[in-house]
Amino acid sequence: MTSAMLTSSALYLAQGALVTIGLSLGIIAVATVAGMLLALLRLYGWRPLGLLAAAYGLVARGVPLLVLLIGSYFSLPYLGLDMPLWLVVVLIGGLYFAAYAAEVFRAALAAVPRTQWDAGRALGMRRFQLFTIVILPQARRLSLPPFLNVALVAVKNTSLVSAIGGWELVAAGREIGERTMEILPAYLAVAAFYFVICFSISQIGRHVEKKMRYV
Amino acid sequence: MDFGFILNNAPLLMEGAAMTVALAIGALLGATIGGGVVAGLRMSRHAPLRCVGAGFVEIMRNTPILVQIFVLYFGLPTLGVHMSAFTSAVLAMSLQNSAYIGEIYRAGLESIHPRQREAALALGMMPGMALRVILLPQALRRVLPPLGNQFIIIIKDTSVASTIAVAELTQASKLLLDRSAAPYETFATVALIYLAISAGVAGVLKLAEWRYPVRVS
Amino acid sequence: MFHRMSRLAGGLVALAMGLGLNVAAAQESRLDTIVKRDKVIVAVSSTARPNGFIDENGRHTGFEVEFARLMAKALVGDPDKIELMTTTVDGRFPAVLSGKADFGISTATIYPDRAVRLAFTRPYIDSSTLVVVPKGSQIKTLADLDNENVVLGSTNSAAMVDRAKKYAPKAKAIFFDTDSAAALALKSGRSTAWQADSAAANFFVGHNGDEFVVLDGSLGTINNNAIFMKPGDFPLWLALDTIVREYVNGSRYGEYAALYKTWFGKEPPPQRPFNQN
Repeated sequence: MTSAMLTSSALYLAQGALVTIGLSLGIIAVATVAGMLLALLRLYGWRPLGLLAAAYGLVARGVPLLVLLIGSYFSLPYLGLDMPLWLVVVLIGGLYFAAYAAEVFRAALAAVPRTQWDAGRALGMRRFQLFTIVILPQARRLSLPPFLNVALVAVKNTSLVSAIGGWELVAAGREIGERTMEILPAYLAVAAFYFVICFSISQIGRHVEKKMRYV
Repeated sequence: MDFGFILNNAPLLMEGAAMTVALAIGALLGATIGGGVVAGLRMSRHAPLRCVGAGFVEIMRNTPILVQIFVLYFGLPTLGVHMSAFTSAVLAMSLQNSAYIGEIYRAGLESIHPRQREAALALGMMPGMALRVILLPQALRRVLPPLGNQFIIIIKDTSVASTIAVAELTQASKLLLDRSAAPYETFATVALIYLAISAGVAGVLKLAEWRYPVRVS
Repeated sequence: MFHRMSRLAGGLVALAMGLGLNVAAAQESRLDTIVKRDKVIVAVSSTARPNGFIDENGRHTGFEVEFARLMAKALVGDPDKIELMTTTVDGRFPAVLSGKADFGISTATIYPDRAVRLAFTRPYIDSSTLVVVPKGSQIKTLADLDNENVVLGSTNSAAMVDRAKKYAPKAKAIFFDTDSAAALALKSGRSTAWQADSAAANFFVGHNGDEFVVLDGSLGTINNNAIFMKPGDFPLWLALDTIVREYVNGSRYGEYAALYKTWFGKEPPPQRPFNQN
């Protein structure tokens, strides 16, 4: 390989990495909001809704994301919904990882001692106030590392979009690898790009975690 | 929708599913134990060990399992190390998920207020006993749901083994799809099988959650 | 407030009309849709050199991709009025069955089991299967493959699996997702022989000729690769099939022959008399 080819391959991978970052951020945002809603429903919601949320969590987590993506992207036209690919990926990926995030949030919220609720109520705090000021900050401590796990898995799962006509980092690497029939160096380069993306995300997580540590 | 050919190919799918379960059991055991080691390193009193633990977690968690499995399977033979495809897959999944599960254990342990440990020591417990009797039981309960998450992710990650020619469920389904050109029927069936395996594992963890609830008092 | 409500109502009406139009559109041939759209959408591969891949300049090209452009030229009069929908092997059939793509050209072999659910035109190329082994290997002929010590690698397709079972039942057969992984298996010693589509095998040996050789003869029958589409749309199928015939054996044979020569370095099969077509 000449150096010009290496440069152009690196640029090509960098373009793929940008797509990966964009899709990942979208998916993580949807997963966080929807996951919190699901966790709240399961813990404090009206019981039938809570059971529904639990059932959703079981099914969404149990089915491979590839199947969900292919199933939804190629079936939506039948329902008259022709959404652009990135939107389908962000929504379906987000709702899928919401099921995982919900488990993390649920575990963390349930671990906050009930006495904290009692104490807050005794101080005359409203439920919402109590939740946001007292409970949530404590739950965050337990939820952050496993939430980071989910986020990193989400980043790496964006590679599945190539099955439905999407293009991102792994697809770019595979294209370079198949062109040269040398897949291993291409994949190692892909891994290096992933490392940069995921390491940045986990450093942000670590930083937040340090701020919340017990002193 | 026509599921006739699926029934005709049921043995192929069932063999694949059995291999998926075998891979998952291997990786679950490896990662559950490996995660303990990783958490131990990450929370060690010795800075070099903490560094090793942190470095391991960052490398394993921040690179794709696909690449890790390729390096183990295709790269190691050039160094004279020969492992079967099955062993390579189980090892790769165990290593990566040790990092994830180690972080989950650590979060659980660190979420328990340090005063509890101090109180146990003040009562005359040795540090090991305090960990075993006071800290671990509480931490394990708290981490059951995220642990369940990771177990289910492991089950679905076993599909990566198909890239190194392990005849598991995804490989069987790809063959069936290629032969029949019936994507919807094939994918629906495969999704149901994965769901059944995941539900089995999720069910066991749910039982554990009921048996050992997080004490909120 | 009222303004917003009326806008919402307008949106709902538009949505309902859209749904209604979709029902109507389902009844007209996709051929009319293509002509009205003035552009074709074709499902192709970007990881199957030399059929569909991204070249050194980042251009999506290859024999099949350029043939897709020839199809666009015939259908809407311009080889560039084309949208390439790149999918992996998993997504190529859903892409046409769902209507996201008009048709697909993606190294699909006509296979009897597939013909039940997918419509194929006549083939645009034959593909044969070659076997690659390391130089100095014990395997000297195709007959040597049927031996307990042989590990025969290939991609995970029905045709490859069936061939391995038929011609090397004693050998251990292993199946990978992509040709490059199967090639890597041969290089790293994970397999001792690799059965591959002639184009991929020739390309690999062309680049690794000092280490690997192609065995004489081809393994099994010749297969036909064809354009695939959603079944049940006769006007579209007839148009595609007619155009393919015109390229491979009719008035546009010259363009097809030039394309073939560019990618495979040799002349395509000669034009045949109509009664042997």
